Amino acid sequence: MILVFSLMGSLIASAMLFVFPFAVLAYFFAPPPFNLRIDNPQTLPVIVAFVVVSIVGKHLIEKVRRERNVALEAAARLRRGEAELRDREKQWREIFEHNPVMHFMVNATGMVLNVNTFGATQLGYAPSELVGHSVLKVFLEEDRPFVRERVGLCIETVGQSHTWEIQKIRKDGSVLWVRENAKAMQWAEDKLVVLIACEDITERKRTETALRRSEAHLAQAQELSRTGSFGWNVATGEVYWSKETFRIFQYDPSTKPTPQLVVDRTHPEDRAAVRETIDRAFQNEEDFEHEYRLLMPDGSVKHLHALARAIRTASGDIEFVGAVTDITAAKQAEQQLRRSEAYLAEAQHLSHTGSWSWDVHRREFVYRSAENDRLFGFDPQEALSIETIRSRIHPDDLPRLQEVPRQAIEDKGGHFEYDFRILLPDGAIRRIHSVAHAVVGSDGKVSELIGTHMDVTEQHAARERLERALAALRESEQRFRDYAETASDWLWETGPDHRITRISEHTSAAILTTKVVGLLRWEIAHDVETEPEKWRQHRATIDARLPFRDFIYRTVTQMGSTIYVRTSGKPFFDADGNFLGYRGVSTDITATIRADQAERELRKAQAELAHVTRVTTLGELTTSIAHEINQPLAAIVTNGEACLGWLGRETPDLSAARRSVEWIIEDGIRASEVIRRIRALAKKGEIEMVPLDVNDIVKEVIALVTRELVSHQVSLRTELTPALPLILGDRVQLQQVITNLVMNGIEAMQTVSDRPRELVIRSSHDDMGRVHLAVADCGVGITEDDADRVFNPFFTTKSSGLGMGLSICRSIVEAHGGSLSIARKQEPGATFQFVLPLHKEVVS
Amino acid sequence: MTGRSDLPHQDVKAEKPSGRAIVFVIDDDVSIRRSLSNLFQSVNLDVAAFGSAQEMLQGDLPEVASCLVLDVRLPGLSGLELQTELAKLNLHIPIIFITGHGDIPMSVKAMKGGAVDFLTKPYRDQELLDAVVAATERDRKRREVEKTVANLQSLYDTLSSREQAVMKLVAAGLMNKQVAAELELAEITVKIYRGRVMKKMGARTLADLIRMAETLGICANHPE
Repeated sequence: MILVFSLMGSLIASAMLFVFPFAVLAYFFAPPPFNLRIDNPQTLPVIVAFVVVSIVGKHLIEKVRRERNVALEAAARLRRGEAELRDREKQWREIFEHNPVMHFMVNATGMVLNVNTFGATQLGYAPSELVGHSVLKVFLEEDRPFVRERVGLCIETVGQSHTWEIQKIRKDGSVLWVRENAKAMQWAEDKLVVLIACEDITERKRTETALRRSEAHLAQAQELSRTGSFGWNVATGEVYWSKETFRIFQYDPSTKPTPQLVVDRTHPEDRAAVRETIDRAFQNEEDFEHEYRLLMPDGSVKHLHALARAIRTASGDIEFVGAVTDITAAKQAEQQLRRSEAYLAEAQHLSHTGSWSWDVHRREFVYRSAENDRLFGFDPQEALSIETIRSRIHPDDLPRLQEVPRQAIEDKGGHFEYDFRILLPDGAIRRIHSVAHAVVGSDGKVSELIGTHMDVTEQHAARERLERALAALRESEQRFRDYAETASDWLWETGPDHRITRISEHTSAAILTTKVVGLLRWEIAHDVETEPEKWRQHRATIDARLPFRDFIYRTVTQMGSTIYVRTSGKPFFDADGNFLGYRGVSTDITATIRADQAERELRKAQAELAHVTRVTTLGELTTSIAHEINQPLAAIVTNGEACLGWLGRETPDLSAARRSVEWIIEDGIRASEVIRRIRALAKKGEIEMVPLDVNDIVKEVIALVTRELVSHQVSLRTELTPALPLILGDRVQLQQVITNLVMNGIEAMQTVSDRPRELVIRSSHDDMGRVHLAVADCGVGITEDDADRVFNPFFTTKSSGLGMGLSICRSIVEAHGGSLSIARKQEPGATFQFVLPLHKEVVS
Repeated sequence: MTGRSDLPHQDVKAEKPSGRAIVFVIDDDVSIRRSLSNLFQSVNLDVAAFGSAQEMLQGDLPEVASCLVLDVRLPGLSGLELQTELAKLNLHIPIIFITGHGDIPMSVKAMKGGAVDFLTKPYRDQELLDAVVAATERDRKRREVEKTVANLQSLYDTLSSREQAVMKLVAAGLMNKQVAAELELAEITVKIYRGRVMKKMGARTLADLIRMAETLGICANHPE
């Protein structure tokens, strides 16, 4: 039955019929089809074999039928074609000739067998010029091997057509692109010819090249700019993504792009916004632009900027065409920039540094940092005129501030720095250090100045403070240098041979003779011959390698003046204890020595003067002194006479005589005492500081001046405090002082007649144990003016006298560590008093 | 110095026979005072020594011939002042000044003040002794004259004022008649007064009376 149906030509029908019996069988012989069971296993192969045979048979039958039909058709066609063939050939010939396609027929060697007129014309040839020639002639030299190979390929694969594109050369040398379609075919007997149809594709090729180039550029541009393009036809839902768009979204380029993919990749936080943007664009059919983030599978985040235009297509649909740019880098850069700007602003604020940019041509600020405005006290929003700026600059700095940039502009670029002061409206001054450079524009001229203003007010103040401190330091250093130099200490070092190896610089040149290094100390000294013993001892000391201290010698300076050098040194040794020399310090003690000498001279002069005044006083006292000596002498003589008288009596009175002689002796002693005292006063002796009782000195003085008091009718009252502490002093000089004061007192009372002439000598001591001695008279007194001058040398109110008395007295008392002054008192006259310090040894 | 000397042999009044001369010594210098006392005593002169003029003035001066040895320069009252002071007290003790200074003006002043001598140190002790002796002698004489004058004065005081007037004029060498004219008395009356005067005064001769008048210093320097 299948075969029957197959013959009927319907496999499907046969198949249905084939199934039907089973269906029928199954219906009738339950179980139903799903529970089909073949009860007898032997029957299965039979059934299978039957089915296979049926199918194969069916196919065979079908195939035979088809082939027969084909053959029948071909025969029919052939029969129809024969009739038309001749007409056709003529048509074909026309077509061949005038077909706007170049046709070439070449043989296996490439010789042109035929060419249509169009083809020849296209190449600028007449057909005759090509026929019989190698077709290679119209190809570029470099393409010829390819052409040969192609022709060969065609020959090898007869009947197969090959297509290629190649350039051809016209007769005039110009080139045109052609697309060649070639095929070898059997021509006549066994000759193979190759038919080639050429289509001029020059224009297309050019367009293609341009397109390819622009596509390449676009792709490259997209890649470089990280910009992908997309198209979205809302109506059709058709979406186009460029390669870069895929790359940006990191989808496989083979994926079919949908708006959903965009949303999938979008960062969860941005999804709603993206969806909203797209929806709105969709609804309003308008352009849209938005930025959003992508969350990439690897977790990284991309920033995208998408821009789309709504375009109405020819079919009236809305299509969005747009570009999506990966602005991650830009975004990061922007963030970094923003951050660094923030940093910069912060840094500027912290460092009080403002930056600015000045347009030279427009004469205005292109850029001012916030800090810059703060420095000048400008409102950041304020447009600044030159006048406004100038008004903030310290007038003194204005000329310079104009000159420096002008110079920089003139010099065409370069770096320049300047300082100026900003004068704020409140009168405060800021000191600015500015660093700038000039920017040269494309025209070769300076177009812009870019710089920074740094507020150095604090630094300036600090620097001023520092400078002041430095100045002080320098001054102090100079002072110490002066000290050091004037102190004229210098350090030296000598070697094992005692020759000077080193000497500190500052003094060596100034103080000593030119070159002392290499010399021995006794070669420098100038007193070796005069003081051989000193030097012998010194050399013995250093030969014994013992330290020495304060060794003084004399030498001369470069200037030839004599100086005294005091030097101390200490031997030094190496680690093994080998003697290496001496190190020490020397000092120019000339001044000290000179001062000592001067002081000695002064003391001597003072002593001389004291002596002179003393002798002068003695001169004034001559009559008193003569009296003092004459008194005992006269008494001696008288007693002698008396003694003789007693002895010369009839009965000599021996006891009276003895008494007389005793008195003679007493008076003799008294006379010699006076002489001794006077000699002591007249003596030009050394000052002898010994512990003394001031009361004793007063008594001695009284003995000396009594006659003077008497002869001037001056009564003396003494108020001497007993048991005074001892003072240390020179007896003679203190006597001189008191004598002087007493004599002055007597003198001052010379003219007094209305009151008793009384002189009081008073001694006492204070809590500090100092001894006070006052000599008070009731004389003419001392005027206010004279009080200041009485102690001056050569001051005198007397007609005679050196006027040295009180001056000398004061120097004597001061040399004793005391003071001499005038004490004021109410009653007439003057009181001179001196205070002497306690003798220290006594105190202790 | 200013205290009274307390030398053991200072007080010499005790051993003196009454009526002898006494030497006063004032010197502030002990040695001098003592040596002078010693010297005077050795020649049997009584000595009273003082350290200052004041001390001497405090005591009573004996009514015997005496002299004063005085240093010109004395503490307190000076020698010259003491001289003046004594003159005021009408004490005519002869003064021998001793000075170590011997300046002329002072010597002149001293001599004018009645000093008998002026010794400059150094003086020889004999000179002093001579001066002292001379001075005491002179004092004795003065004292005698004084005594005579005192007698005469007392006689003179017994005269009536008329008698005294007559005596002055007679002593001046006027004749009785001149005296009578002078006193506007009768010549006879003058004679009577003159006789009474002669009697009362104990004058034996006119020359006696004239000398008495001179002694009394009542010789009227008559203008003629």
